[in-house]
Amino acid sequence: MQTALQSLPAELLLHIRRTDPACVRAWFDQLQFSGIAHGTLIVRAQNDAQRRHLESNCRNAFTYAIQAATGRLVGVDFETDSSPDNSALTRDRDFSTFGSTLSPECRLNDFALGQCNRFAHAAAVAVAADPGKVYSPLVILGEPGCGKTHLLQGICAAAREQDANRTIIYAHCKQFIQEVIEHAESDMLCALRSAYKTADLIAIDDADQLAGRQRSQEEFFHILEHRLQSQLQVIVALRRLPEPGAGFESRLISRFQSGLIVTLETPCSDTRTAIVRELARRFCIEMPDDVAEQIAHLANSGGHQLEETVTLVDRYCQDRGGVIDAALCRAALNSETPHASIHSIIEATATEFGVAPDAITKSRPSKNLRLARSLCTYLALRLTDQTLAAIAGTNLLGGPETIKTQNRDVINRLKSDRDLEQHVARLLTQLTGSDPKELNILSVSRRNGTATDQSFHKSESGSVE
Amino acid sequence: MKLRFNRAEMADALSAITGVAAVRTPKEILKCVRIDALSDVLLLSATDLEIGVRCAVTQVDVESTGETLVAADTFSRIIHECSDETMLLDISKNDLQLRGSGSHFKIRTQSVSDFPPVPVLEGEPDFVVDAADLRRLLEWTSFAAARESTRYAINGILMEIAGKELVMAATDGRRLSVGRTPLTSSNVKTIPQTIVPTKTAALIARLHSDGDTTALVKATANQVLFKIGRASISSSLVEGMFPRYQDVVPTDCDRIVQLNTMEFLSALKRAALLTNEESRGVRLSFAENTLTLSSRTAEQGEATISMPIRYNGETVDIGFNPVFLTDVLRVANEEEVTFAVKEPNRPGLLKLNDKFLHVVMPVNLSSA
Repeated sequence: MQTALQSLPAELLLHIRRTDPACVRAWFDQLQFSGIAHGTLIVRAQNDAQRRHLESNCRNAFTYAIQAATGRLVGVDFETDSSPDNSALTRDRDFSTFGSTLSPECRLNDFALGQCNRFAHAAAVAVAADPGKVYSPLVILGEPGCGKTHLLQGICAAAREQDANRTIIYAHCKQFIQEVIEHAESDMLCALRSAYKTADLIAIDDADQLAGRQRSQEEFFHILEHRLQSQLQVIVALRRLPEPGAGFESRLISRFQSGLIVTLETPCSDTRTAIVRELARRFCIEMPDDVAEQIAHLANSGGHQLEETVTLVDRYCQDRGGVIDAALCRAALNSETPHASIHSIIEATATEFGVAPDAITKSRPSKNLRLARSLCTYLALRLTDQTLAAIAGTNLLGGPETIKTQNRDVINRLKSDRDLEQHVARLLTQLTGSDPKELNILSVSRRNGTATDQSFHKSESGSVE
Repeated sequence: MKLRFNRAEMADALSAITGVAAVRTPKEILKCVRIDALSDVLLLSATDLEIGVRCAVTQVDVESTGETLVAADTFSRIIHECSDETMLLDISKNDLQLRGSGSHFKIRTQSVSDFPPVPVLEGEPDFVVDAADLRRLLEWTSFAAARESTRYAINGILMEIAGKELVMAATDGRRLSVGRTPLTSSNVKTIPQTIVPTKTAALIARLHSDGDTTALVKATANQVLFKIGRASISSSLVEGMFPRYQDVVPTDCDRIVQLNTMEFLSALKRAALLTNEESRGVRLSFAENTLTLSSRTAEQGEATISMPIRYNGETVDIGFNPVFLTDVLRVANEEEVTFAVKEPNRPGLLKLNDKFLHVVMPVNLSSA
């Protein structure tokens, strides 16, 4: 019996994001499931690329989520719709046994643009529109994290989307070398040569690794030579153009130089911000603009580190109530966050409100003390190194859900409640000995949801108002 | 047919046989035990059409061979009630006569030709395993199997070969028990998916142990055959696809404690006294060198039990259905068990040794 497919429940996706934010992708809302069969949740991906990502990176997160949701020992299996090709990306290996698979995330449309990469992107778009007709070979240079792989895969994906019958090989150089070795050992080099020479487009990533590998260079040179004569597209990505005598044959270097050489510079601040926004979109993170800028400003490097940083900030904020704000972001990125203990926060809050600490922590505080308790939660999430789960584990301020609710309540009230703001300011001064404005907590809470580009720079300088 | 037999040995064989002979069935023939007297052995057979068992009674002196069919329950009760060392069995016309010192029984018999065949293991087995190990695996796992679940496949115990080991697994969806033991020998690398019914497992556990016996096992697509000592058992398999249990065994539990099995069992049983359907579970609080078990019910009150442990990790509170833990501790035959958890909503892992593990889902105690 065919079971109707449904979208994955929102709670499940939320749980996955909380457990493993790095694995979440924007296309998760396209995933479907057909129920639990034989103790296994069958999740259906749109294409093979998605399925591979799920299998490689998401199995545990999905398993934990479905187990938490059902209270049962349920496993997870990922399948692809077996209907005829519904995405060009699903066929990236069908035509050939060579090369690697394309990531569903690396599309030209998703490439974060800035001054540092605009020219390279334009060249990539032109090549993808008409492979072999312009800029062949296209040589993309750039340091790790500048977007070489993204551009290479984006060109391949775009070229395939235009014509699903195009034969395209995208290969990391390591894989190409391995293929050469394996085919040489099995006396099948003619098959490799034929595939690489006749494909409509080949893209070799991290070609620097050909350095010192004579056999692979030899094969690659002949492939390149044949393709250039046949007006077939070649794209190569390297860190920098090889110097003669640095492990590369001069004839290969000269062929590289005969093409269009574009350089991806280290992302500038604007580009890094765009990358952070793109990563947030990809990981389904609701990230205020000022936080994106803050991350881009503090993580002064390329895409790989930005991705790690975005994941780190998201996980940190998920552990502390699920709302990302600049204060939590700063705490996640900066170990100099002033620390206080939960007990000291409760005692200070009790003194501020003129009650005994026990009145705040007892299981059912009176109505007028709920605000004090919420305030303790809000401060504990920001001033201690305890996660939400750890704070809940102390049994002082309520369970995980209560803590989330209390945190959101204070964030919302701070937007308009001046009295509460004064309470917080006094408590922050008392608990940390610092000026609350420098802590960047109050200002961000009031701004939350309406952050502007300027707000970040104001908070950076410490002059919020 | 006429023979003299050792009553105690016959009683042992009948203990296993009568568990299979159907009690409530419209087919009278299935309530019977078949008796085959060969030249030097007496064979007792019973079946309920799903499970068949044949036991040999070797301490017999057969005067004349033959076969007959008698009501299993009646025959068994007579053998058990008598206290003679040996008894005489004789068939005359349609009656089976049993004679002991000062006692004489005459039981109606039925036609043997109507009795369904009881398959027995013939030829080479798929594998051979120590009978005691087989029983231990079944004991470790069968309690975790589902009872009357609509997911039929989990109403039994999965049996499979993994390398040179026999692996058994059972789950009811909330807990999973997996045991493994080395094979004595194997003629195959894999066997078809074999889900043994829990009734068959119970029958094997009841079989009298003769010390160092081995168990010969052969699995086909719809049947599994055992030969353990003097008994041969055939069983149809539970249909359906057993869950891929390997996927739900947690691999990242980093809060690990060694617990004294009996102390932990005792603490759980005490804490479980103040739980009910509503309160759902016992809270296990792992703190530095102390495990605190607490439970509460709105009507009856609260319980707090503490026990010393060797633990210096992060504090964690996690709730479990106490039955799921006591069940496994009852069959634990080691002085210590290893208990590993990760987070309150992740499954816990209880390891007995490197041969047995038990995965158990936690219960949500936040509202309790």
